[in-house]
Amino acid sequence: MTDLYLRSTTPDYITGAVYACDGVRDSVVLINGPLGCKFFYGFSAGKCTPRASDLWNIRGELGVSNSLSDSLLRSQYFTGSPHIPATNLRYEDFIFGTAEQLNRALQDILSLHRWAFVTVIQAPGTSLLGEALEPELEKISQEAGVPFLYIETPELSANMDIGYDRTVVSILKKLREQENDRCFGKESAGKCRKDAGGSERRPSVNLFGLHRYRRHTEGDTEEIRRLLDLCGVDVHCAVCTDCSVEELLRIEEADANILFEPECCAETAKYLKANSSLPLINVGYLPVGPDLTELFVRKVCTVLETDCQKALADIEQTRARIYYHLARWTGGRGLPQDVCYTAEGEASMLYAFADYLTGYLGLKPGALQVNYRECPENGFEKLAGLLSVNGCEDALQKDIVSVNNAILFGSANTIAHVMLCNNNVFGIETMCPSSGFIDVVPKTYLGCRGALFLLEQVINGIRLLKAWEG
Amino acid sequence: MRIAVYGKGGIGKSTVSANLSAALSALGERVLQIGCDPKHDSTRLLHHGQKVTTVLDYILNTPEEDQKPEDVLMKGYMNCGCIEAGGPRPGKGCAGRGILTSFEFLNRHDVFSGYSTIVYDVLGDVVCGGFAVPVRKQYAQAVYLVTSGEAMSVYAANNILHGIRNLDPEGRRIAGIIYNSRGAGDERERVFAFAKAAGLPVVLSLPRSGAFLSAERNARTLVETDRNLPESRLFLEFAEKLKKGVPLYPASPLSEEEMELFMQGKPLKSLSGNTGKEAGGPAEVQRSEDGSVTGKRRQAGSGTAEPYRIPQKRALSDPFSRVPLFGCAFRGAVDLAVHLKDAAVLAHAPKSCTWYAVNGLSSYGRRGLFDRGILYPAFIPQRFSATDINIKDAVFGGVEHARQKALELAKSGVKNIIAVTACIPGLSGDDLQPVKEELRQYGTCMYIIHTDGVEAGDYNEGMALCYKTLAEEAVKPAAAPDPDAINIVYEQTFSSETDENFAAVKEILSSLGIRVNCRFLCASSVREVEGFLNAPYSILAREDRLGLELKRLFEQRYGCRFAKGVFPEGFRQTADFVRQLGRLYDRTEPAEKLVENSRKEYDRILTELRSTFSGMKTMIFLSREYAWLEELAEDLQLDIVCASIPRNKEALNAEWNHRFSKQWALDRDTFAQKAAELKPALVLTGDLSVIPDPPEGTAVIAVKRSIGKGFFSAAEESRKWTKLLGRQLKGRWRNDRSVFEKYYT
Repeated sequence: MTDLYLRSTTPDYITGAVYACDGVRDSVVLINGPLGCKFFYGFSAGKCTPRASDLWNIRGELGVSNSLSDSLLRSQYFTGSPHIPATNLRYEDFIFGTAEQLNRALQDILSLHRWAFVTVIQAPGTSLLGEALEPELEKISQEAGVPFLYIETPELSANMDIGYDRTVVSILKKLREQENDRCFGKESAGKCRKDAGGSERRPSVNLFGLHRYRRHTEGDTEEIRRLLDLCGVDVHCAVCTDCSVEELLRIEEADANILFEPECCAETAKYLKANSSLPLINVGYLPVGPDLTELFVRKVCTVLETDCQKALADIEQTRARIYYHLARWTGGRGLPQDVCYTAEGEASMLYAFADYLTGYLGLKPGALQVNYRECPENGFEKLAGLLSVNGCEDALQKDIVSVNNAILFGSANTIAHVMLCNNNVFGIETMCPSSGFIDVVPKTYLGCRGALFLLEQVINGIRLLKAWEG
Repeated sequence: MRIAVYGKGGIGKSTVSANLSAALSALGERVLQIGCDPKHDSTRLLHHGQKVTTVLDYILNTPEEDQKPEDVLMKGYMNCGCIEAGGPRPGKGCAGRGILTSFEFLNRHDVFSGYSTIVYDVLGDVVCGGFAVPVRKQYAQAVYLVTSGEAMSVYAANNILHGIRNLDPEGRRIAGIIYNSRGAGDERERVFAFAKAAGLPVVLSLPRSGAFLSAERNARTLVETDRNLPESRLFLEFAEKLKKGVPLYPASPLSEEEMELFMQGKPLKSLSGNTGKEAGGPAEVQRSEDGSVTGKRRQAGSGTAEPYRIPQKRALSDPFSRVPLFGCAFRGAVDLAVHLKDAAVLAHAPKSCTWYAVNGLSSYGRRGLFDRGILYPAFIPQRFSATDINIKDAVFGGVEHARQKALELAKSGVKNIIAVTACIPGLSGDDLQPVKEELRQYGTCMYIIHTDGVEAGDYNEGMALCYKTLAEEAVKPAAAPDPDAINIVYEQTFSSETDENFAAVKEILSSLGIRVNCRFLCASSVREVEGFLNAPYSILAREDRLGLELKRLFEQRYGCRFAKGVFPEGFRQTADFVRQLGRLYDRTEPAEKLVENSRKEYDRILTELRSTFSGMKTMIFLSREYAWLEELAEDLQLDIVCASIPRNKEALNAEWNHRFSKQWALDRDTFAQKAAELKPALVLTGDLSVIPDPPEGTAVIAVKRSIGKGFFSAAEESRKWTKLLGRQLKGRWRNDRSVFEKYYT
């Protein structure tokens, strides 16, 4: 039943769409639907990065409890949570149409704050109505002077990566329509590395695919930024992760676009190929572990013609530290072979983890559950190839629950589910939803810091598993 | 040129569209005609009655990677392209959504680009958003209304004008009226009068003619049959004009009152604000509001628009009448259904709703694991299946999809299925009853919870439906009555205290020799629910509207008897509860003994606690009553110097006031002032924000809405307070708010 369970606990298209829009600072996402459709997105969104508190933006308050007695509770659109409002539709609206209520909700929301971008997403039920809401939205958008994105048909049962990918493209298209001259199509964009004073400036890149559903988005972005900085490269815009509309409008001022996993970047890649003059660095994986991190920095530096020596030195130090801890703890024998790891995630993500955990650390994979295989492009073949090279192909698509004595990488849902069936598991959260652990210090599984953090978790996890065995 | 032809069903739109397409083709245009009617007969006269594959049938039956536009594109007269959008079976699914889906397919495959003229033949009336698709800007530029002089036909034409005005309030989208004569009385005058009133030209008048019928019998248009016929010439001349371009007019429908007057042949000036001109002069007609929010109304003669007022007539339109629906009925029902251990939950819903529901309930499982190291199986559902409804299911109905999933479960040995339906099956009209019948042959029982998303209401309504459906359908006649058994009804299912509360009550019951028969519905099973009537009595765990409804249902339907009250809090309530059970189960003596022994223990605990609390200057601010707190305050001998509790004055005087003879401050500000003035050692409140900055030495303690159950629950609650008394440390971090504002706002 694990597969079925995973299918029900992996996020949907709307989550992807919401997270893509939510990665734009000062933007608001309005669900055109009943309040029931907003609650989960409202409570879960925005927890992975400490962006400027939306509650603060809206009401000047830090906690929901502060506002419950005040306007937040009185607002029929935000009811109970300060994030991702909904139009508060009722069944009758499904018959008579939703335009009136949508209008009211937007007027209310626009009066609260000066938003830089507004997205209206049809809830599943509302999308069935086929209403023509564009004229109304266009009118309000013009009156408010704010770009509006309207997602009329969220795929009812597609997954989050598809929703994220398509919505990123929609946002880029929308902004392109909005301010064509500033956004795309400048032949010279990104090619001149001279600043206003005539001196050479550092090259910069746009990052695509670091979505906020990953467990440590803030730390991930920081680590990529740090590694690129060592390569003499700046991050111009972390697209739909934590960026402003202004940054999005100027993405062509960067020198290259970096895309990570194909599952959530395939459509974006196609769009950028057709509409951007910048070179595309299609990485195809997340830089997990020293080897993939080294490949990543070399690739970027080759395209941008910068020096990667500082980054390589940093990676070398990471390798040394990994060696020291592994050699010391295992007496030079390597990780115990009676412990394995299991994992769920996109094929590309699993590929990156397997490359580090199996290829580099020598930890056996017990079961790898690939999610989102329906994505038009995914790293399944690559993952299968990697496992085959290491003689571990039997781990692919094996039921996670059937494997005991394992380090499990997954969401807290999966970890709880496996623990219910199996008492010798150490869970490491790689994606949302989390168990509720509050990360005050930003963490990451990417790059050098991520390699060390993962090793720390793996070593201590194995120790705990052994302790339980005893 | 992109044209949409609208009009009442059966008025001849398809005949007009086909002849127009044929005429335009004959004049050298590359024409594509798209029928937007589920009965898919729009293009028959053009393709001579070929077997039609509608777009929707094609999408339904062909894998996406194999889909090709040419499979739905037929070639008709003079190479005219013919496409039928099709639709779901009558009475099933959402036809409007079907039109949208068809157009998305045609766009995706770039079907429109090969044609110079597109003719959309649209279902009779703008009945829902989907049928407005062809008149959206990106599709049809010009709209023709086909009408006869019959009343219903004119009404329909006017209604279409309303729809178009809603879609494009400031645009000019109407090309005119095509008058298709039925040969009835003064219909010509009526059509022309309506056209005039609506400010539109009659661009084509078609006589009643047997030639149409004769051509239709041969599955041909008149234009193809004989171009020289007078009727064919009308179409050809009209097509010539079309090629040259036609003026477009704004949609200016008549209001309901105006229509009524118009149909009665009365002048329109009698309406208030009318400029005094008679019906027939569109520029002169003063129009009234019609209920459309997006519309702009045209002022007489000016052609300019003024902002539209949101109408007040519909209660739904009044934002102040719109009480928010908290949560979703689908989720409420799912959250409850997972508590039946021997049943599988089948969510007939899109992935969005399933994911949302599963994550909602699993959040309790995750939190329990992290906060307390406890895994709650109910919140990590083991047998949860979902249909993951897609757009095809939404358009064509998803019963078959649900059936397959249900059969899979049944064949895997599942004996009970709780099927919960979300909004989309509700809108599509999916009926799972036949599936329920079919499952019987596998020995599987299906309970269908028709939450249909918001149709049922909010989260609580979903829970209510699940409770009631199972109470009505799963409970069986008593097969093995057990005089020592009791049922527990309506426990809190999402609370970290549920298990502790149940354990406390179970301990009391066990000490009286009473066994729990069924927990309805908390960590329960269908088997237990089936045997509900085996127990002679039930207890309601908590009391609110739904709890009382459930109690009434069991009493009226099955003659069940309930013990008075709910799970007890504090000593007095628990003693009453125990004595009642003693009477009901004929165990008076053990009950008295239990109360007596517990009294001794309670007194011992209170003696210990009074050393801390006795005479402690205390203020109380509550938004509701807490019976246990009244008793506890007295037993602890607190010195209540001020209290604010919302009850009527008589009740206060009768209970609290006579005991403590204190002042009553009933508003927050006064209460805070009193606290500053009286400097109490203890403030008990349901709302911590009532004293945001307490005086030095004052402990502000939150009174929980619900405490543990049993004799000692209140006393144990006050034991927790002892740790909170004394000096409150604030920490210097509070001084850094400005820094937070600097970096994060």
